[in-house]
Order: sequence, then structure tokens, then C-alpha cells
Amino acid sequence: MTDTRPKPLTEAEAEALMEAASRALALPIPEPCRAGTIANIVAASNAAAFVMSFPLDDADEAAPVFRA
Amino acid sequence: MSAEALLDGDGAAIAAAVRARHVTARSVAEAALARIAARNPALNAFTDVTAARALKAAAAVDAAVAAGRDPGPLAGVPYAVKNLFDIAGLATRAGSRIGRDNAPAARDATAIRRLDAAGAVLIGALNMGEYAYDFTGENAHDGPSRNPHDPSRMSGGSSGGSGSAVGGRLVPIALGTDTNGSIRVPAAFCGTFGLKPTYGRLSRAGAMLFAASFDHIGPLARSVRDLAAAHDAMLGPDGEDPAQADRPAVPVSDRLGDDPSTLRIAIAGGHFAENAASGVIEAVEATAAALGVTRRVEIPEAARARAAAFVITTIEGGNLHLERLRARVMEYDPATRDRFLAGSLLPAGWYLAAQRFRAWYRARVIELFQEVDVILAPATPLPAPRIGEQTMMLSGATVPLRPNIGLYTQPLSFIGLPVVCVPGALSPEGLPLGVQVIAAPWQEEKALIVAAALERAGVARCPDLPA
Repeated sequence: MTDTRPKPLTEAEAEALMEAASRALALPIPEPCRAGTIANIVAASNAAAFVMSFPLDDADEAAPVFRA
Repeated sequence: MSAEALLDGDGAAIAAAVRARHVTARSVAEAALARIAARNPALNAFTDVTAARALKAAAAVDAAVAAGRDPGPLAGVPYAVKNLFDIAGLATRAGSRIGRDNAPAARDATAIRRLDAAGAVLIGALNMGEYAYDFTGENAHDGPSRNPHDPSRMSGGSSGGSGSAVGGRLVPIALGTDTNGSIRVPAAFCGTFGLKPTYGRLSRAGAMLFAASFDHIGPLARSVRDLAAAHDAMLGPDGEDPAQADRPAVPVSDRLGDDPSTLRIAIAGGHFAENAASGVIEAVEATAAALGVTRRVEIPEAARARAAAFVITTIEGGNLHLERLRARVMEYDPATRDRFLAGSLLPAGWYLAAQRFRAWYRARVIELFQEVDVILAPATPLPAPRIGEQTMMLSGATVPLRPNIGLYTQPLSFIGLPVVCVPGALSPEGLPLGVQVIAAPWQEEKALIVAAALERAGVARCPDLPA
């Protein structure tokens, strides 16, 4: 069975995400910040892929305001 | 004992001396101001010293004592706050250059108002990592706060000035904030006690947020009774913090002498027993041995919890700063700038998956706390690195230092568990190491009872400063 869950992004994929989201949010990325921003998107994609490889149930509800 | 000598002890001893009229609050404030003037140039802990305010507050305490009124449980105790807490009349900079342009705060943060009401004397604001996105205590605008046990080393962050000021004996109590470990890391590196209460316990109103899902406030101090006294003074409902839970304000100071042998205590295995530098696990084992603890438990999916905390933090932080990033991005500290930019651009699907996993993880950890009351774990994977270091060794691989300092703290703040960080055995190179004493939500008193027992046994103590 094909694994359809997200994989960590390559640098090129992270750059494409940066460009698209930068336009969507009207947040220009100055030249001195581009390489660091791409590197941090790649790092976040690694963490996100690890999180999203965990199977969640429909009943696992997000808790944006969290009551410990 | 002189006011100057009292500064080497804890706040409770100062309050007792003031109440008994052995010293005046003014003499203590003056001694603290003199000590800050002498020692702060080496530590860079303070960014603002509020001398006039401190002397005025001390005079009010002395007047209360002279009139026979109760001056409060923290009478005359000098304290300072991370510079993201609003102090009336000062711009709240939160470690940033941009924040220096803010209008002066109109009033104090709730935590400051409550500590002042308990008789404590605010003496200044403390250095921190920019906008709290930091584990090192470094700051491009203000310079690094330095470790009092070796000024060439990091204080830890982001409440670096808080760790440096308390560990360096400039003040007995400081306030910090903890989103992923920002109280516990500087407490561990600087050899102090630190309390991160349950998420939603203490009001954050008037403290600048970073990642609202995880932001906590709490004290650093040199004794467990000072942690408890500060906690108790700051308790109580505050309609200005939407994350504060509707829980009874139960003080913990009178519980510190309780017998810890009635508690079920275990050592955290798995994630919390791996990837540590020499001495780190030994410090945990020494605290366990002092308590007669041999049981081990595993907190499930802790590594994934840390990853989810990273995703939520960077996205919430990035979004909080979006407007500032549009307008003034090149004025950020280069150490935080690109992380905030990246976080602001990430997909909502990543964020929501992490929040949903958080609910799953919380439920599993709550189940674990049906079997145990308190869990012991290391605070950091290594003692304070040298200022400027960029990498560390983890499982034989060289990895970036900054994010990995929070290896053991992030999976706990991720679900808001109360944690007392106690100073344990020293590392092989003679540096402080912290041990996390972790309890179930709303059971701060259990972590504090164990911490107090370790303190009485001499296992948890703030190490002496180098001569």
C-alpha cells in the first residue's frame, strides 16, 4: 500500500512553499533571510512529517485553548 | 545578619528579618542595588534597574512594620522580572530592539501587582532571548546574560537574566516565562530552583506572549519555600488572561513539610534516558536514590510530543509577529528572525495535526498519572555550553545546539504539566545540572513536596559560586 502521508520537504520544495505563502500572507522575505527561512521550513517539515505519521482518530479533537 | 549577607540566602530569610525588625526593607533594597551595580557588569542579567521604585516600595514595607501592620509574606524581598513583563513607566521590550519603541506600560503585569501586594520589592527587569524564542540566553541587542558559575557559558534561555540574577545572588527571586523550557533551562544551567506551574494556573496578563498554547509564567529562586511563596502570592483569578483556568486558589507553602513517602514516584525512561551528556542521568539517579525510588515509567510518544511542540510553537510565534515581520523584519535578532519568518508561512494542516496529537498525548499521560504521582527526569541533555556554541553531540551525531537544549523540557510543557526544576549533582566539569520533578495537572504541591524533601536531604541545593 502506498504511503500517502507527508514527507519532509526538500530545499526546493521548501523554497516553493515560501514563495507561495509569502504571497498569500503579503509577507516579503528579504534576500538575507531567504536561506535561513528555507532551512527552518525544512526543519519544521521534518517535525510535521513525524507528527503526521501518527494515526489519529476522528475523535482526537484539536484543543487550541488547552485545559491541562 | 546584615542586609548584604542576607542576599546570599533566600527570600524567606529576608522577609523574616524584616518582619522581626532585624533589618529594614530599605537596607535590603540598598544592598541589592549595590550588589547589582558591582556584579551585573560581569553577568549582564539586568537591562533595567528600578532603583527609585524599589526604595519607595521598601519604605512602604518599613512603614507597615513600624505601624504594626502585616507587611506581607514577602516583606522586603527584592525581586526582578524578565523584561517581557509590563512594568509601569517602562517600554516592554521582550528582549527586542523593536520593543524599545513601545509606549511605556501604563501599569504593571498582574504577577507584579500581586508580588508587590505581598510585600516584595521590584528592583528591575532582566535580559532575555528575543521574544522568548530561545534556549541560550544570548541576545544580539543587549548581549548575552552570563552564567554565574562560569561567565564564558550560557545562562540558558529564554529567561536567561532570571537564571543569572538568581544564581548569581543578585536577587533571591525572579520571574520568568516558560513555553518550551524557558524557566527550567536557565534554572538548570544556573543552578537554581524553578517552578513551571500547570498551564492556566497563574495569570499571564501583562506578560508578552510567544506561543499562547504553551505560555506559562513562574518563579526562579534559591529555595523551594521561595518558589512556593511566590506561587502563592501570584495565585488567584484574573479575567484578563483568557487561558487561566477556573480553579481554586489553594496555597502550597504549608504543604512543603509533607511526607514524600506517601507519593508514588518513578524515574522517566525511554526518551528521557537517552542522548544525555555524562553526568546528566547520574544526577537524576542521585535524586531517585535519595528518595528510595527505583521504579521506571515511560512517557509514551515523548519524542513526537516534542516535534508537535516545535510545530505549534513556530506557527503560533510566527503568526503573533506577522505584522511586525512585514514592517521591521531586519530589526529582529538574526537568531530569531528566520525562525519567525518560517513559522509564519507554514500550512495550517501541520498545526492542526499537532494540536490533535496533543489531545491524544495528554490523555495517555493523564492515564500514566493514575499509576504514579511524581516522575523524575533530567532538565537538559547537557550542562551550560559556552556562549556562541552552535552544535552539540546527540546520539553520536553533531546536531544544532539551540533547538536540542529543550529535548527533555518540551514534551512536558506541551501539555502544561507542573514541573519543579531542582539543582542536582554537578556535571563532571563542575557545572550545575537540573532535575525535573513532574506532577499531574493541578498537583503542583506534589512536585514541591518532593523538591522540598530533596532540599532537606541536601541532594537538591544551589551550588556555591566560584570564589
